[in-house]
Amino acid sequence: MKGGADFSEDRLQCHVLSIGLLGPGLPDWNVAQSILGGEQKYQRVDFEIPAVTCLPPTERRRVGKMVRLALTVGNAAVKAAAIDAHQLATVFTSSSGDGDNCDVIFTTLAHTEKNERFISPTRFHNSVHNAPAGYWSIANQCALPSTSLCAYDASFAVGLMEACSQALWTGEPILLISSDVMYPYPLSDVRPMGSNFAVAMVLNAAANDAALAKLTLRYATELETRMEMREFDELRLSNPSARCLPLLQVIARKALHSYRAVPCQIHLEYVEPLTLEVVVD
Amino acid sequence: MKDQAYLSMPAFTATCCLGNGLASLRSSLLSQHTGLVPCKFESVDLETYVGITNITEDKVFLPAELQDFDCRNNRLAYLGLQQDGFIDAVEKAKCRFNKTRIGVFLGTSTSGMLQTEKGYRELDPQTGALPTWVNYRFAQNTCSVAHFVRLALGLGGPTAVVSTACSSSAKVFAMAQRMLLLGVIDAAIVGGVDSLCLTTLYGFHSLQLLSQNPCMPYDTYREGISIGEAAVFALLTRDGSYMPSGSLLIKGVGESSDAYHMSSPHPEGLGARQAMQSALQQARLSAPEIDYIHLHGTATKNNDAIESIAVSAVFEEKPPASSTKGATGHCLGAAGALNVAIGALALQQQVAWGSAGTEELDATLSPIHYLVHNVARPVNHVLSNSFGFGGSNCSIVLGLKD
Repeated sequence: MKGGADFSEDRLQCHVLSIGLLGPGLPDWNVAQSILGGEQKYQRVDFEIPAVTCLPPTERRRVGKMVRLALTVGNAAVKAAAIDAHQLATVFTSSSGDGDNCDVIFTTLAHTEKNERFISPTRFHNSVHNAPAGYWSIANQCALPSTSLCAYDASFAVGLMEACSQALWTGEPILLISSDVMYPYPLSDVRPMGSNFAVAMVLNAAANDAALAKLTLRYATELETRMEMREFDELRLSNPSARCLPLLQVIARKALHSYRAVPCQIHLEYVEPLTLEVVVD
Repeated sequence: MKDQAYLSMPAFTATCCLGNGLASLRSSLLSQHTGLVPCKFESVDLETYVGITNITEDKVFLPAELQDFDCRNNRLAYLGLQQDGFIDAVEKAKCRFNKTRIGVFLGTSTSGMLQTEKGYRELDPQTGALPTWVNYRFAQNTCSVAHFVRLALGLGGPTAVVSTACSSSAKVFAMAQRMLLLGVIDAAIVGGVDSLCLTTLYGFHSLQLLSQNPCMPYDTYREGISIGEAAVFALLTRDGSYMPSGSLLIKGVGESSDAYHMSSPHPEGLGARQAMQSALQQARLSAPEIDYIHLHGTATKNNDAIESIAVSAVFEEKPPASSTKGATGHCLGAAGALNVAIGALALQQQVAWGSAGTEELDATLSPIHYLVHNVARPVNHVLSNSFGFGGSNCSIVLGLKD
């Protein structure tokens, strides 16, 4: 146990065992890897958020886009890591929560008569920020700890740091899911987003043969890394969860190209004036 | 890494319906006074009681440079920060540690949602747009309060909100613990801020979980929760030899998921049991070493029944246990931190708290040693429970340094 005021260790390391992804023109990690790695041309295509088949039918009918998006990328990452979701603690992160649900509740509550202010009970319990986490734990019968975070545009980086710290703390693999869904009008006026986007990663303190990358994380003050291609940078800025893209691009390039052995450093958007430095090996 | 998980809690403060700061909280608890009053909040026309703070919106003003953050939740946070010399304690921490290595991890479920709720009443009749005074980023966004507190305290370190419904501000202790013991930060401001708004009042009403009378935890005639609001903050550091004997320690935090239902706990309390057992394990304590259990005790039929099953299963010998939500109301996203603060007062006062509002203990509950009245007794370790929607559970063990 390290301790005391002279503590100097400020870097955390973990391995990315798998990635799940869904964004406009990025239908899954395999396609995204070749697009971000420069082997395939990027073409933005908006997408339908799939239904989730992993929930019991009663629950399936109750969930909105946010839960469906989060569960979709979570399932993809877990499948790619070939780990039973039952055995994974989870970190959920999102700036937005479920805007559609919020909009209906606020519209209902704007009525002044008591009998018009009736919210459906399902809507209310779906309004909690940890709704995706709750449904995920039910779908996978996973009783392990789960947290749900928010840090506005820094939500992805905050979630990555939290997941890495938990992986190191417990010595067990952990699933990170970052997802944000566009708000409906009029909330879209005060929080515009240009796309729906979600990413999931299974992280572990120890590497395995299939590990995609080793990450070394540290808080820093350098400017956040922008992406060379305009379309990618627009996408990065269009949705808080898409702030992960510089990291995904480095992972994709390292997987596809010969400079696998060279570490690359990027900086993800964090709460100002900090950024999250990630060295990818 | 998991050898020793103790944290020191050199400063804490709580503001709720019992008053601003710990002195009024302590004296209300000692006299078993309730702060719940009939709900006259905003335009709410529900027959219920609330635990409302002194923050009439004209008494608390945010500093000029932080005006963008102005909303009920952040005003409550600001009021809470000014109590019990908490800001001085943070200033001292800033002298000792680099301010970029002091984290701010807060729990909330409501954030500044009330502002947007009001905005929806004044949508532009032509365009349907929200009025310009709705500031989404600095009021409604779930992270607003952590961002605000970080700036108000002049800090520059890691910042996040945990929002897992009613366990939010308990789980921030676990987050800070990991970050501190992994050495990523040297100190953390943790806590919770949750404020009254229409969504929670009408939402719990829709679930038929809102009590018409002041809530009565573990009582035969309990009929649901009374919603409260609170701002609670604690300063956490790694435990070190420099901390004096008798100072407050966070000895263990246990987390789990029910994996059962979005708004009902697991019928056998499996998640709650796991959280309590993990907290005890991390604290390296056995169940008989707990002197008082500060229950979640929301006063709904189901929650209290299931918590009693879980507590009864974990504790063969029954330590005194109670809920104080009959005094404070259920402060939702701030409930976990308020439970820790009141647990810390039990350690400082050497009193196991009674249960304001409870008259006739429900004899059909699983056997636990429920305290209706305060009992002065040695209190060396307190277990504090917080359970939330989505099946999110967190238990915390507090103790005193030898």
